Parts: sequence; C-alpha cells; structure tokens
Amino acid sequence: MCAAQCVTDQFNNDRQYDADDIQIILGTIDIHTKNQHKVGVEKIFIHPGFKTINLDKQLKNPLPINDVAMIRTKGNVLGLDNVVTMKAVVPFSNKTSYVGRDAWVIGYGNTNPNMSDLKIGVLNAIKVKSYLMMSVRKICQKCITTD
Amino acid sequence: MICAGNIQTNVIHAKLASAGDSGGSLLLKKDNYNEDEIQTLLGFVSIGIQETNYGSFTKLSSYISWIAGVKEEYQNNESK
Repeated sequence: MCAAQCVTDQFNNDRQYDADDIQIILGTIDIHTKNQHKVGVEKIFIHPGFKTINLDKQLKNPLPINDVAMIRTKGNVLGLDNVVTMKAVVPFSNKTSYVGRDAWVIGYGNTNPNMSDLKIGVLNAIKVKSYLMMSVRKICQKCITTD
Repeated sequence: MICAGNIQTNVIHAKLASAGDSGGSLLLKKDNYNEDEIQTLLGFVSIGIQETNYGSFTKLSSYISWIAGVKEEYQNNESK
C-alpha cells in the first residue's frame, strides 16, 4: 500500500507511472546503501477517486483527495534471506477512533526547520521517525482559526 | 491551511509531518513495543506542512472496502 501521489506524476496531470518504471527497495532505511534488495512492480492500482485540487492559489502544494494506491510486487517481500521486512495490518473497522493515541510517522522529509526549500528529487538519506501524538480535527480547526 | 483537509472525511491530522515526508507511513504505536509484532498501518502522509507542524494523512480505515475489492478482482483475474 502507498499514497497515490507516490505512483503518479504531479507534473503531468497526475498520470500514473508505468509499473516498469518503479522499483521497491526492501530491508533498509538508507536509500544510498549499496546492499539493497529491489523488487519490481507487476501492477499499480490507484483509487479511482484520486485527484489533486487547488483550493487556494496561495497553497504551495495541491491537496490530494483519496490519496491511496496498492502495488502488486513481482516477487515476495516477506521471509527473504538477509532482508528485514515486516507485516503491517490495516485497521479493519472505520469505527475505531485513534484520537489521542501515539503513532510513528516515517518519511524522508526535512528535519531542519530552518531549511525551507528541499530540492525536488533529493531525499534525505536516513528515514526519520518522528514521535507524534495523534490529535484529530479539533486541534486542526484551532490551527485554521489562529492562522 | 493544512486543515483544508477538513473538506474531506478521509484524512487524519497529526503533528510534525514535514515537507518531503509525503507517502511515509503512519504506524500505530503500541504500549509495549515488540519488533516481532505485526504493526498497524493507519495511513500515509498526504500533505506535510512545516510551518504549522501539522500533517494531513490518508486514513486507510476509510478505504477497507476498496482494498478488499481490488484484492478480489485481482484474484479473480488470476484464477481465470
């Protein structure tokens, strides 16, 4: 599973990438390590309702809607020799509330608040796990009104 | 601005996702962390905005039926 924006070209009307153009790197958090296990992609399934909209021209980035996709890999990703991967499950009910629960967010994003411009196509090499508290809409409404 | 996400129901908002994190996983933190345990994937970073310290996440639990449908269709095609 991944975000739809990861398998579409934002500079080309969100056109879906060809499965052959995507490789998945397993078992490492360092994208520059030489010791990588790569697996190809057989098929990409993007949510039919995926789109990006510009609510406000002042927004730097368009807002993705239904930002979800599934990828069928060409090979196994679990139980490989010397490659650490693990299973994750998706919540089976949309009634469970996770408000107030702690969660990890994992990404290659900017960790330096003074560095506002990231070069497109350049990822930070090491994944960051930020520890965060999930706090749903109330807080977000607050952040709108204080903006 | 990040809370523009309010117009859709299928997002989770949380603190501290930043630019470039997009697509990263949001995993539920268990009380007793155990590496061997199966993780719960709640969603992905959909937008990260540094200035507000909030991110907008795709809420996977809203897409359970779509996920099941894709799987079923794929498996049906496989068995043909």
